[in-house]
Amino acid sequence: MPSHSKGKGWLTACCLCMIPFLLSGCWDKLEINNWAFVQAASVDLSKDGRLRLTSQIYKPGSTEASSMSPSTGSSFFNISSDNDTIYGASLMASNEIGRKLQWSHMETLIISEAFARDRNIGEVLDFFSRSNEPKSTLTIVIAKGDASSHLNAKPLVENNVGKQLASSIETAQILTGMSISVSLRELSILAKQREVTFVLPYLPFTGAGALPHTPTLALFRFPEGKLIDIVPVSKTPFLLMLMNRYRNGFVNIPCGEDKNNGLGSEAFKIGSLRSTIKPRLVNDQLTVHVGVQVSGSVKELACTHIKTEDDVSRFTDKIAGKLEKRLASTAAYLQEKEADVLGAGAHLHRWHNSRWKSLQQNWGERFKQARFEINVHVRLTNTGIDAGQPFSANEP
Amino acid sequence: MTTDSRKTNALHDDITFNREKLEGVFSRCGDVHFQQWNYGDGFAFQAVSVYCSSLADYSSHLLQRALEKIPGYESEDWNSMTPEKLRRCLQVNNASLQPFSLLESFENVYESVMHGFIVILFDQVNQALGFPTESAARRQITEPVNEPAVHGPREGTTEDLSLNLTLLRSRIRNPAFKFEFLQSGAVTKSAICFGYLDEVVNPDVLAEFRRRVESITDYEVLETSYIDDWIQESTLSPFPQVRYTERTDTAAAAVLDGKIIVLVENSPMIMICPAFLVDFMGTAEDYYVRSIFSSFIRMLRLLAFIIALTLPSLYIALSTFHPELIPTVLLLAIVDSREGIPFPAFFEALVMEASFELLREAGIRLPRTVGSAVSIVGALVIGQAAIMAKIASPIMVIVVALTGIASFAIPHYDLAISLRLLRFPYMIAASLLGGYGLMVVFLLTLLHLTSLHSLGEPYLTSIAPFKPRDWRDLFVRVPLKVFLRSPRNRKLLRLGGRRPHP
Repeated sequence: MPSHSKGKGWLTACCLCMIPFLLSGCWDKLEINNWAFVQAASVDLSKDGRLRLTSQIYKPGSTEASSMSPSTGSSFFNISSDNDTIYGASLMASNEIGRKLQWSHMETLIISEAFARDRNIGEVLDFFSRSNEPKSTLTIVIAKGDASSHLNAKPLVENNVGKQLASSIETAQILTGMSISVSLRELSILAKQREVTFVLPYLPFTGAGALPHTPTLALFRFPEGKLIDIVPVSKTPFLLMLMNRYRNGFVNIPCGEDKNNGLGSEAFKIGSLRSTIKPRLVNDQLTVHVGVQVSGSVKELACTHIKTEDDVSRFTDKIAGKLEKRLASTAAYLQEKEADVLGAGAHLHRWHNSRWKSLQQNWGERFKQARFEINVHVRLTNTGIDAGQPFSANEP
Repeated sequence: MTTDSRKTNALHDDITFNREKLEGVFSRCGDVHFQQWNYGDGFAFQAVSVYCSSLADYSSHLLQRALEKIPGYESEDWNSMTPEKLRRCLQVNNASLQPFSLLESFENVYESVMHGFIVILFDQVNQALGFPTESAARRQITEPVNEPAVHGPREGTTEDLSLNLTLLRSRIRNPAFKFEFLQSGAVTKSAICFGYLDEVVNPDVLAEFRRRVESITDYEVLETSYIDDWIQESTLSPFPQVRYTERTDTAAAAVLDGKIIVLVENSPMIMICPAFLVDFMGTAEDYYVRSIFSSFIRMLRLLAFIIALTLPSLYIALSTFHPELIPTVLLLAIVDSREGIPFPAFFEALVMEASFELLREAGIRLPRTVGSAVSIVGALVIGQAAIMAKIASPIMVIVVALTGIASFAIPHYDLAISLRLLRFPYMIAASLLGGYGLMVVFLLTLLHLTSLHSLGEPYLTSIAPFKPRDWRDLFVRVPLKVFLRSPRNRKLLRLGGRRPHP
């Protein structure tokens, strides 16, 4: 500032330095102990048609002076509140706790099946998408029975139920292909489409049950946002294969024709699976060609010897046959429900938009009449450490 | 001085007059002694020696032997010396007069006595002889306490300027290594010396330095830092603009780099200017250990710089304003540890930082016998007691301790104290506006650093403007073989009269 004298410049600087203390409102902020951190939340339909929000909140550990060691075992408590909207319910809960609810560390949102069948889940998701706090990697789960009962269950190995459920679904997706992890971000992208059918993970057990079961899938459709049907457990892996969302999993091949004849079964691990879905319109009839490339390894052998090239091709043919059969029955199931989760409609919409305009009105009907051509190719990579014969076989 | 005053100040023939005048000026200086002696045939002629016993060593025999040589020219000795012969000897001023210096005025006599000379006045001779004696015993050369090194020379400077110059000159035996002297202060008359390597130093920088330092001769300079205070660009900047060292190898390396070193009588600190931000992150020992290891250590120092500056403010910003950025498990641990603490995060941080600073200052002033006990008490017991009394949370103690350790890892004390100072505005900004406030003070600091100059050169030289060649010595230490091809080394080779390698 060459034009002012040095003293004047300093006075201005000092005055300006005082202003941030007033403008930033440093007396009006919330310390970390004024927040109630929500780990998981559940939404139910209460008897008078209102929403019941149950939040599981972390209770800070013991404040004894003698404990310098990290707190052993964390404690949580659940709090329920009823209101017409989620936001209202969260404020009611804040009233009772005395601390404002903080959504940024929430892992899972559980919606009850009753709510999903009756109301649009978009009502619930709107609050979490609009608020700036929740993470977009939030897992959405549909649960049987009373959703809040899941929050009361004791988690098996994780610290809290929210994390337990989220990691259970994630593992189910990665290891067995029996469920899929759907995040809030994915749902908000799907909801932008005009009409879309998708799957959400479904917990087929109540929280009060003795043994938890593997999560499965449930079918949904936007824009109604209501549950259409719960996918049978035997069909879930193949549904994921049809959607090309299958990561790893396994196939059991019984030794004889019938698996109950006491001869045991063999296990084949699917290491990678890629399915290409090509919908085509032939004379106004939809034909969907599904090509599946599978590669995997043998995990258990009971009766087959895999030593020669012929053995290998026989084995892989058996697996391919089984997969084709199952895929066909899953496709038939989807057609019956008129649930186009494969994205055939989306594909036509993108690439053949002019024809799509005339087709989209009764797309469900067309999908039901569609013809599926399923082709599976299986490749065997290895048989594990042991050679290709069962454990107790003693041929050289 | 005009001719008149020179005339009035000139020594007289009459020794009594001279002696009285000197005794008047040196009255009440109990350490200045006058010794009368006679010479000549029958000890007819008088002479007086004046010396200051605190500075001069009168008992040395060197004076005797030197005096013996003066009449030797005329192949006589003092028994047959007369004032006329002496006057002739002094007029001729031949080699036998070495190492005496001829003094003509009272001013010269005062100065010589106060510099440890033995001044001899003769009757009927209007000149005096001044004999330089060995200086009084000073501190021995020891390893500098504040700059220890595992590898490398352990020579530290002392308070004696000529000894320091000896140490430096013996490292760079080249006439291009220039030493210029200044005398400052009307009362203290202390010698200031600055040195540089002629072809290598930047002439603009040298000119700027000379321009700034010549006005200090009116001021009493007691220590090298007075010169720093005088010539620095910005007194209110937290960042130091000159570097200090007590190690002669560091000073020699700086001179070869084209810097100017400044020494002052009675101070062991060598001031190296201009100093840039990158100079504070390296030590001489980097070049004595293996390049891989010193590259690792340099990166560690960078990490220490960042931690020392921003860790408490980062903790305050994250825990108060951005809890969503902390991983869930860590967040729940922080919530656990902060439950029950009465203060908000900012006050807690401020209290812990203030007590740490108090501990540090107390540690410097305490005598060595008590110092170690207090440090143990301070660190363990008080920290533990604060946690138990719920004044501080364990996480805060960790943050403050880590910050303190990181600031000790920075090799230069000046930069470490500037970071200590800067930490507090960062904490205030973080508590006001969170991450945004932190960013704002980052930008303000960057703004300040880019506009700061050290002797006319930008402070962020080697970092900005970006030249990949300069970054070579910044975050890593390249092996010497690569360094030998650098332009600096080629310049030095040419200076020494050798052809640089292609």
